[in-house]
Amino acid sequence: MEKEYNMTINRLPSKTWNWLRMNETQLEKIEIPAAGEAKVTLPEKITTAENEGAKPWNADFAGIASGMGEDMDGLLAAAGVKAKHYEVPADVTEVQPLLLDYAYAQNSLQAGAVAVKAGKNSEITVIEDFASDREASGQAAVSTRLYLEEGAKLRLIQVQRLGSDFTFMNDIGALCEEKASLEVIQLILGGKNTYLGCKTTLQGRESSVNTDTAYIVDGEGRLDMNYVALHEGKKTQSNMQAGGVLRDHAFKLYRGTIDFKWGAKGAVGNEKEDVLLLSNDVVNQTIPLILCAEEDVEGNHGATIGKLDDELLFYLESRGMNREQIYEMMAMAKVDAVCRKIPDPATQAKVQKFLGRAVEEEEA
Amino acid sequence: MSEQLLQVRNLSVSVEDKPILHGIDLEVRPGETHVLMGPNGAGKSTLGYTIMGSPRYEVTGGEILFKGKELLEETADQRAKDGIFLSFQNPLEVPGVSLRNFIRNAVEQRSGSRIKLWTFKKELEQAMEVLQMDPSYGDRDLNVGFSGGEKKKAEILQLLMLKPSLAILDETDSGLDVDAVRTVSKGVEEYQKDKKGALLIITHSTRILESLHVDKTHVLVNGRIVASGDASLVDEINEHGFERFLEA
Amino acid sequence: MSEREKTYVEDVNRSIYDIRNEEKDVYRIKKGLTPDIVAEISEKKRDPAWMANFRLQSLQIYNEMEVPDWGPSIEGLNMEDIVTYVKPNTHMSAKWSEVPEDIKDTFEKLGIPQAERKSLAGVGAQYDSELVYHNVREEVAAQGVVYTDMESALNGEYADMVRKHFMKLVTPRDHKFAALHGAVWSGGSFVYVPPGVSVTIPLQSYFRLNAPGAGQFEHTLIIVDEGAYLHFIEGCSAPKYNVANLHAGCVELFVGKNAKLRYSTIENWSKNMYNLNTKRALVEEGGTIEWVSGSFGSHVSYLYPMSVLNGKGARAEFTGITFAGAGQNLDTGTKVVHNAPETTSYINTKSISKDGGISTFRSSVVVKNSAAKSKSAVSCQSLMLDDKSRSDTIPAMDIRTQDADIGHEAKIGRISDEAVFYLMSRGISEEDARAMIVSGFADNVSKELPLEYAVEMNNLIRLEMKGSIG
Repeated sequence: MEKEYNMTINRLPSKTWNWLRMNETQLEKIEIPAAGEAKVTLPEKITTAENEGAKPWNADFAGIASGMGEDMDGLLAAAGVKAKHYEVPADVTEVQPLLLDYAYAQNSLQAGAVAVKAGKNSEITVIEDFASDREASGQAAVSTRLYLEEGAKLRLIQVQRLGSDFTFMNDIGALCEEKASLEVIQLILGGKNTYLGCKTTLQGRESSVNTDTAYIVDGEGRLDMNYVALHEGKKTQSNMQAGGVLRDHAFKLYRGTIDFKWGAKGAVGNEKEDVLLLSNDVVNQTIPLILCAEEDVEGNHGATIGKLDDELLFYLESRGMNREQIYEMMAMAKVDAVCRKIPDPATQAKVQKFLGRAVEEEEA
Repeated sequence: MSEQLLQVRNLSVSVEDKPILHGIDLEVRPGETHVLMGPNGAGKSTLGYTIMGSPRYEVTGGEILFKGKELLEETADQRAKDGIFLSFQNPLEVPGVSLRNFIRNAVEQRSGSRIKLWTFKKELEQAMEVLQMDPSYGDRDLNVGFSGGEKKKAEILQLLMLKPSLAILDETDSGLDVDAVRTVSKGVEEYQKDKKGALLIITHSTRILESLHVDKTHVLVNGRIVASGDASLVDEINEHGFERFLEA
Repeated sequence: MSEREKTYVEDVNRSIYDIRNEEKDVYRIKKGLTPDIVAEISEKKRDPAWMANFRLQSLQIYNEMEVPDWGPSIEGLNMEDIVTYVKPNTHMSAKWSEVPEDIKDTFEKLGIPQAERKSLAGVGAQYDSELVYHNVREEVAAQGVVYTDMESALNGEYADMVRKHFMKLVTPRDHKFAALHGAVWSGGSFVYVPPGVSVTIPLQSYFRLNAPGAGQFEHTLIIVDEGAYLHFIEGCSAPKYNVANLHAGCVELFVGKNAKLRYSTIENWSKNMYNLNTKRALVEEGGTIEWVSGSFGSHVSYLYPMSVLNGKGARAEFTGITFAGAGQNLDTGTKVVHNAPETTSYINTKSISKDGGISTFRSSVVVKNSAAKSKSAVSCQSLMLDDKSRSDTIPAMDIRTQDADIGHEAKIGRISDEAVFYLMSRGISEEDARAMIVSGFADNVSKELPLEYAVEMNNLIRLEMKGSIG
């Protein structure tokens, strides 16, 4: 079997000038990983199922498109990965999160896949924690597929606190049926090269997706993202927010697409990006697309890149902070704002610890 | 005490090349309360922002001394550490930073040392009580989604916690209803109580002054101080408005 | 309203643009593209040797390059069927009375001579591949302003200046159609404004393509020297034919230190036109380029005027509107490169899609590491008038300095029913109400145009909006 694999991932849904190098990302000579699994904390009401077939996904999930694209499935197949399937039965509200802890050892070469089906009117939180030692190197790939039946509510939380020499591929594909709502909360804090794809197909009417991503990229780090909200159903809603900080020689490419298909009447899509650049040697690329084949829709995109607003800077300075402290505070504020949305205190504490901040105990 | 706290000498200021202030002189001693009044557009806020060191305002002449030290070369954060505070008319929103953490951060910057969580918490709660603020406000992001009145209260809360030696209140009473003005005044009284902090209150109305002790009043018209006097000047303006000064 | 405000375009209707003249060209090159054809163009045009050579090199590059793998399809364009050079049966003249009757009549219906008398400092009129008229006011010429056709410039007093600048900013390697332009270009204008000279009233070139199945490849080269000012207006139209026509012009603008150039275009090509045009400005220290761009015509457009801000404090402004109706796929936008500190770009566009039309806003803002304290603000708004049409927004940003201030806003939506109802409640018909709202939407662009063109643009919008209630 081939030991190396070439991939084209994170394709922009509509191409533009090639010289910008934003249309897609080529990964050459990727080593084929071994299949690996997470440590699972399974809440009571969740059922698991084995995937009987030869492919990574069973029939429920095979047709759900993902952000990184088909080559990621190719990598999983080459690695012989078969997804672990989880199901939340209809009408079940599971208050305990499904915890998937990926703890990678030094020089890991692993790939995994997870599929979660949220039955009609069910509710569940899935937490994926990707961690390794701080200095560790390695390569890991995780693919997550989500299928939300009518009225289901699913919250996916991903925390990436990998070592400074890790390459990580993180691919999400989701499908929402009528009135289903998906929330994705992501904190990208570590690793060297991170490839992140997240595509949600809003198929049923009044379904919605919210993504909230915070990142810190430093050193020679690279973060390459592709977010897509595909509006097919009527009155569907998407909200994509990404924000973060680039330091040192960091490279970041954010692709974000709101795609209104014909028939998505009454759909609303919003996209917002807010980046702080803390060094003169960073590369910050952003390409926010709005594709529209429907009249009765509303799409908005906004981005601010670079410096803090002068008035804000003055306001904070007038309270006694110098510029460096203000930028530092604002950088952490971006991460904290997203971190606070994590409903699991233990996961929150892990984030704070990774950021080098002890969680203060209330001294009584 | 006879030492001057703030000395503004022959200060001229422009904004985007347009002269706003012309040769302002102003002296404030420690613990004194000064009121700066004047019609809209007279340049009152410009003076406040210039003392705080906003880069938008260009000093074209004169000098400012604070505690005997030349201020103009200092950035706003240095001035804050020196003990100057400006309450903003429109405080800015800072998502992701809670009011509590922000104040703690600022207090630590000001004092240069870490303070105990418990001490800080108690002091903050006391200050919030004076301002009739629900303690849960501490968890909210700084000014995000605050109403006009809540923003003003949050500014006074910072004033009480930072304990500056000179506080400049820029139209702190504007846009507030009677009850909110009363609460804000109570906060300011609290600040005045120990007689250590001086105040420069910028206002075009007199509502906030009713319950406060005033040492001196200045009237600013068209970028010049046209009259200075004691607290009785406030009453006069209350009755007759600025007309007398406008003709001057 | 004053006399000046009631100008020639008041009663414009599409039929004016659609006047077809009988073809009486004196010379027409064979269809398609071979080195022989290119050499023949060189010979007919009496090119200097370097230019003849340049054309052949460009052809070679053209043959090597691929068509773009992004953007609207250009499958309907077969170069084998395009006639690259059509010389009208006349020589260039400085008097309208010497221009052949049918050609003069066309330009008169388009309002060019009238506009020249009223509000222009100079006019060039191109008919198919060659200029038929060129004239500049005496007082402007007396200031040392040069405004002439490219062919005269290539062989005249300014030959060295032309050679130094020609296709140096847009090189034949830029893309396939820039290479094509390099090989077969013909016509266009050369403008030189000497240091410190301010041309207070605009110059205008008008391009008319009459021959079916032909291409127009005019080259515009403008040099605005230090501290000078110029407003240049470009208009284009063609009658509608059932065969594809091609426009692959090239505009190169050099804006000197502290100079300012405003370049306005109202493009109204017929809907069988492939408009693959390239425009670029190089701006030196303290200089300003202002683009005002209205795209109404053509079947397919690729049009992204580019500003290269090369000197400290250089500025670019781009104001654009695109109106895509039935059978149109208009891919328009702009590119900016911030190369120097304290440079500013300000981009404001509107696009409207209707009756199955496709409009795409495409942009790139690149802020290099050398461009500290630069600012860029992009705002693009799109209006969808029905659910048969399409509107895409594809803005890219590449920022490589910390000390930059970059803002971007995009919005897409429809005419609000409440707004239509509000106007109707005041007694305005639905059709008029919608037209009024669309004109209002386009207002920021029409405000940037000289009055005559603003009126023309509003009339074009009205025309496009007629019968749009379905």
